[in-house]
Amino acid sequence: MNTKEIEELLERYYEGETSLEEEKLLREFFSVDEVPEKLRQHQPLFRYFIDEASQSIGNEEQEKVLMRRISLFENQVSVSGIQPVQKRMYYLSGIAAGLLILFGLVFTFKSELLRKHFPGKETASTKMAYTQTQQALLLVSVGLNTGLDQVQRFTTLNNAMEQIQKINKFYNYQSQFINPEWMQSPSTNK
Amino acid sequence: MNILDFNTKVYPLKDKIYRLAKRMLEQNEEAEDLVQEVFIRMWKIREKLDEYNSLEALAMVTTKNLCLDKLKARKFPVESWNDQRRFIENIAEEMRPDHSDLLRGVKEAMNTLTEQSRMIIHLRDIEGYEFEEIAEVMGMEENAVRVALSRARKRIRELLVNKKSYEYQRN
Repeated sequence: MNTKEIEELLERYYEGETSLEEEKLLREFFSVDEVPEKLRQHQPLFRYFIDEASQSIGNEEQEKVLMRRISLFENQVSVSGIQPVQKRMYYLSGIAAGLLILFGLVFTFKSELLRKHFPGKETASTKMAYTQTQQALLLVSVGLNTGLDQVQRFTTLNNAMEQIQKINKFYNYQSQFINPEWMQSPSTNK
Repeated sequence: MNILDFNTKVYPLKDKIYRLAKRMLEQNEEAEDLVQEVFIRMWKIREKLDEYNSLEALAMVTTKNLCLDKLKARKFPVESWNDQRRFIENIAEEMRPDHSDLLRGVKEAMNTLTEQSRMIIHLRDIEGYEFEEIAEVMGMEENAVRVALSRARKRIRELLVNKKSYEYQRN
């Protein structure tokens, strides 16, 4: 194929008018190292296409991994029949969540439920609470009484003081009637 | 379709699926994951696979759709991370002796194309699909495919010529 023909093909290539066979010819033409200077600028494009078309998903190791993952998926589907594992897990988790909520409700409203269904038990327990409170209050009052004993002593002292006060008052009253001068020099009047 | 049929008819498409996925996602690992996803999707509908005229077209359409979904889900920060990763991944590839600067230039030029034209030029020039087949995969009219292909090829030529002249000036 001469340069002129290739140029013509290239022209049509860029217009999108070449057939697959013609495009293959172009790639073959540019795959060799000796390309006329005039056409060399088009070479990278076709070289790149050839290069890219030979690319595969990777080495054998990667391919094995891919196959294993796909076969794992296949097993997952076929073992469980119609329902894939994911779907079953979905239902199971729903049931588990429902049970959890139910238990939670039972525990939080347990006391209220008991009061409603067993009223006798409730009165017994309140009576017991009442007596217990009474006992506790009694204990407190006994404690208070021991304090009162100390105060009692203080009151007796206070009473004694009052008696003394009375004597004091009497003494003051008496001194008004007794002339001190008489007391000091009774001999002067004689 | 049983596992044996699946292995002989669908599994050999792995490289084609991989190449298209890599063309779109520009990442080896993501492309590998996508191949699995395509296979799993096809396995799920294995009962209906016999009704399709072309399993290859179905696989390619599935690949295209999954790739577009993935690209749409990407956000900006992921994108910049991707650039770094792409750079690292590509080092090994570009160390290959036959992978010259010129070939890298073609790759870069192809990456500047829109998703649609990149896919069309890939299917035609790398996978060697007829216009009819490309139209089926892309969900387009044959004529529209031809126009888009021509535009994509010319765009790459333009970019390569510009790059060359730029390098020439720099040297």
